[in-house]
This record gives sequence, C-alpha cells and structure tokens, in this order.
Amino acid sequence: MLGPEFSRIIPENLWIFGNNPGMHELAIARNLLRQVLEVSEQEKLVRVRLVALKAGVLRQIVAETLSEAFAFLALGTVARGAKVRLAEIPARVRCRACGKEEEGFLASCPSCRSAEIELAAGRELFIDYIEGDRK
Amino acid sequence: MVRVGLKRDILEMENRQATANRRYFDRRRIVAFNLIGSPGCGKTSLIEAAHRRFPKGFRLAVIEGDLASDKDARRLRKLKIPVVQVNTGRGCHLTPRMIAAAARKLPLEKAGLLIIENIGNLVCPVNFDLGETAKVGVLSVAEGDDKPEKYPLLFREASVLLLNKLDLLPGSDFSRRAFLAAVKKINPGLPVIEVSCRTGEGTREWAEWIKSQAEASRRKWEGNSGKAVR
Repeated sequence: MLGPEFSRIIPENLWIFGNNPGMHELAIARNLLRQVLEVSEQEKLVRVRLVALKAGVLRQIVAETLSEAFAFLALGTVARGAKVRLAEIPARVRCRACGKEEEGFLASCPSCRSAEIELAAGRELFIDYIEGDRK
Repeated sequence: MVRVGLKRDILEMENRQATANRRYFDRRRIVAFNLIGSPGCGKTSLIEAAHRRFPKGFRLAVIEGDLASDKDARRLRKLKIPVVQVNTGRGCHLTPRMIAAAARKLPLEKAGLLIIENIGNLVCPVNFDLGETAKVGVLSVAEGDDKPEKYPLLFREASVLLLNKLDLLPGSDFSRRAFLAAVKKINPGLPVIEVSCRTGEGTREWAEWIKSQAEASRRKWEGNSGKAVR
C-alpha cells in the first residue's frame, strides 16, 4: 500500500502521505496520533501504552485497520507499540414528541408511534482516555 | 501508569478546517454541495444534467475528486463549467484541506454555486465534513435497494437523495417500495428525487432542488446583511 509518496515525509505535522489521506481509518489514525502526541507532551508522558477510543456504529470504522494504521504511524514516537482499543457506541434515537430514547436505528418511536425522531447516539468519534508512563 | 481522560473529538483538526471553509463560502455567498455516491452511480452525469436545466446566468463551478485521471473534469470543461480536478491517489475521500486549496483556484465569486464531486465511495466521504452547505446522496438503481441499510450514515446525513438510472428499473430486481421504506426508516424526512440522466426524467426536479437551496441561502444572507459578516 505504500507508494512513491511515502518518501514525502513531513514529520512536523504528520501528513506523511502528503495530501493523501488513504482509507478513512488511516486519516483517522493520523489525526489520532497528532492528538495523542500533543497530550503526551502536555502531560509529560514518556510512553503511551493505551489509547481508548469511542466510535459510533455509524462511523463504520474497522478496528483492526485503525490499529494497524496507528501502529505504523506511531513508529519512532512515544506512542510506539501503544494499544488502540475501540469501544463501539450503538445507535440510539430520541423521540421529539414524547422525549423517550430507544436503542437502535428506528423509524418511529416504540412508545408513542411518532415518526419525529432524531439520532441521539451512533455517530461519535472521540478519544476517551490514554494511559501511559511519566518519568 | 497514569490515565489521562480526554473525551476529545478525533477529527478536531479536520472539523476546524471544515468550519473555516464554511466561513469562506459564506463570506463569498457561495452555496456548496457535497455529492456522495458509489463509482459509476452517475455523479458527473447529474452535474451535467443540472447544468443543462439551469437558466442563463445561473453559474456553477465544480471541484472534481478522483483517485486518478481527469476524465470527469474534461466532460465538464466541455460544457464550459469551471472545474478544478483533485486527484487523491489512493485516498478514498476528499478532505477539507483539499477543498480549501481547490476553492481558491476557482472563479467562485462569479459562480455562486459550487458542486464538490466526492470520490466514489459510500463510507469514507461521509465521515469528513468539507464545509459544504448540504450533502447530496446519490444511489443508482443498479446498486440495489438494500444500500440504505448497509450505509446508513450517508442516508442520515444527506439533505436530499437522488435515485439515479431510473430507466434501468424495468427488468431489474430493484424494489422502489423496499428502497423508499428503507430510506424512511433511516431518515424519515429525507426528500428522494428519482432521476434518469439518460431519459432526462427527474432532472428538472433535481435542478429545482438546487435552485431552492440557493434561494434559501440567499434569503439567509440577505437577512443577515445588516450585520457585519464574521
């Protein structure tokens, strides 16, 4: 998967594939590493051991692909070898009529039958926490 | 071992750029659409079809995303549409950074309407906000009526859905009823425009939809015109 653009390494901002984001897991991994490194510096971590993420099911993120991309990008950084753990958040809808929330990707409210529903959960994408060592 | 709680959006940087793009478009009073659909679903044809339906003076510009080649861009240049080609190589989606760079190469002040044709893909492009006014989902009859369930986020995030290649419906297994029911299940308020770029059916409605969105944006800008633009 590495093409000639691999030689265009720009370590400062980690756009290591130039302007090429790759599959969405790779683009996400790159954004993730940038933040992990930023936080490690602020928190004076010398080593990052675990990166815990939460992602809504609708994001359709393949955990293995994300882990692999992260592992590759993190080589040579304090996050090298860190484990990436992805917890999936199921979809949930909220009824605008009665206010009830229900798990699933539902068309109408199971309680009051209203079709006025909105997505309450399922499209999140955030770093929950990281674990690591201080000197 | 220490634990640092974060709860931080992973796409923070991307989203910040998308917000900057949105402000850039807003200031120049540009309505921008992000066209998302599979390879071969007819995205470029739909741009051509809309262009043909627009009244004189209604100008558009296009950012054409493609893995490789400028075939689609050449098609649009033939119609004298200003177009910037963005080749992503192996990238499966356009990023807000690419849009920021591409938009500056287009005569947008003259156009007022920008259509971004994303890379053919139903998953990745939906994850990246480009700063568009609205996402337009495209699906063709040939892809099957089960796609809303398989790729729910697109059907959730789109402001309108175009069902293209309607001319293929006779003789196919595509069930309009099942498809519309599946869409309704995911996004009950999503308007669906059924189109055939080949026969021209529905292309007027598609062009009308674009015009109505442009009108809505104009009203919003005019309503704000007394105030200083951010």
